[in-house]
Amino acid sequence: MTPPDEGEPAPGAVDATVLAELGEIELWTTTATLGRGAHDAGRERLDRLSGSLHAAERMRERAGRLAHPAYADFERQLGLDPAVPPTALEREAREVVVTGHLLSRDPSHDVQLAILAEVGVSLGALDARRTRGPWHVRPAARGERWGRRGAAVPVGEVVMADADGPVAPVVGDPPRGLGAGTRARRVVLYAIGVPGMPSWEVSEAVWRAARYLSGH
Amino acid sequence: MTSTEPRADLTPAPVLPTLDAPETVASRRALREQVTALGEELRRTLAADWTSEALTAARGGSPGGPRLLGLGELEALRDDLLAHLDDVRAVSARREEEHVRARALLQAMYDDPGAHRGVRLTTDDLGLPGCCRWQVRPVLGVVGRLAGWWRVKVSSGCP
Repeated sequence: MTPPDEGEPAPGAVDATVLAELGEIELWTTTATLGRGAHDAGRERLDRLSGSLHAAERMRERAGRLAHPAYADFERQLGLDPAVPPTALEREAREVVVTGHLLSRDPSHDVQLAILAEVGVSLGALDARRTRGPWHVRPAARGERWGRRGAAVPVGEVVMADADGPVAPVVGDPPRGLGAGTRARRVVLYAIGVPGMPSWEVSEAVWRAARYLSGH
Repeated sequence: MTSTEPRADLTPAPVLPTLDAPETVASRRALREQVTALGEELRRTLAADWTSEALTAARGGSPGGPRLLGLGELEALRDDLLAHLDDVRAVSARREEEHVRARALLQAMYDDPGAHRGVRLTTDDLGLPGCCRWQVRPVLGVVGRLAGWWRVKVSSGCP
């Protein structure tokens, strides 16, 4: 299979059991290389968004969340408490209600935060040196570890995996070492499409994030 | 060995033993639909009464990562949601009663300021948006206090 072009969103396979239980779940991924000036552009983008985001109103409508309400139902269906945002990024982003600012950190973080603020899509970012496609969604099997050498993955946890094994939970932060940190120059961006969200919205969010990162 | 071949060190997962029975698929689907509907109802109720007490009453979920839930877990989730919805509605009803009492008190403050010296109400007490305050204060300071001249002073605007 020919790998998709960099920056182009590609659908990932979803395990039949997961589809049967949770409905039309989708995985969209792409890779992006940081362009020159991505950090400054990300900071400026967040500054602009800070001035236009009606965070308090949005959080009131979404039971305290910035993400699309469909994610809350998805998380609940997976046994999680949607009142607590599953990612550190969204938990910290809620401070915008108090501070009035979406705080910049590094390009990967900034682009995830910008997409969350713009369209409410919860985006993940992995260091492209630590994983390679194609990626898919499935329940974890017995004996699997995050990135093969990391901590053990609980059996049955629904994960995003590559050919070597699980690389991120389907909801929540990627494990340490696999997530795109400040030093990542090339990142794998991914988003889960959940029932109640238009498919195009999720794939476009991934595409847009890749363009932001690469400086287009 | 290529990366797409199955790894020998991984036991095929008896991942979800409770999901094996095909006759329970429809039951789980029905429960998931109920959970979705109740979750939406909870979201709308919280949007209508956005308070920390209501948010606390809506907290739920169980420890652990994202996983497929079996029939029993889905039933428990549905029952928890129903309980949370009841709790949130009870909190909302209690607050509405407090707002009605506060509005009656404000009317009484206007009707008879002298009987409500120093009483203060805020928009939050009345369930209104904004940062307005109503307080029964003496007219002309000490003079009004000594003469028994009281009125409701309205302070509006957020700091």
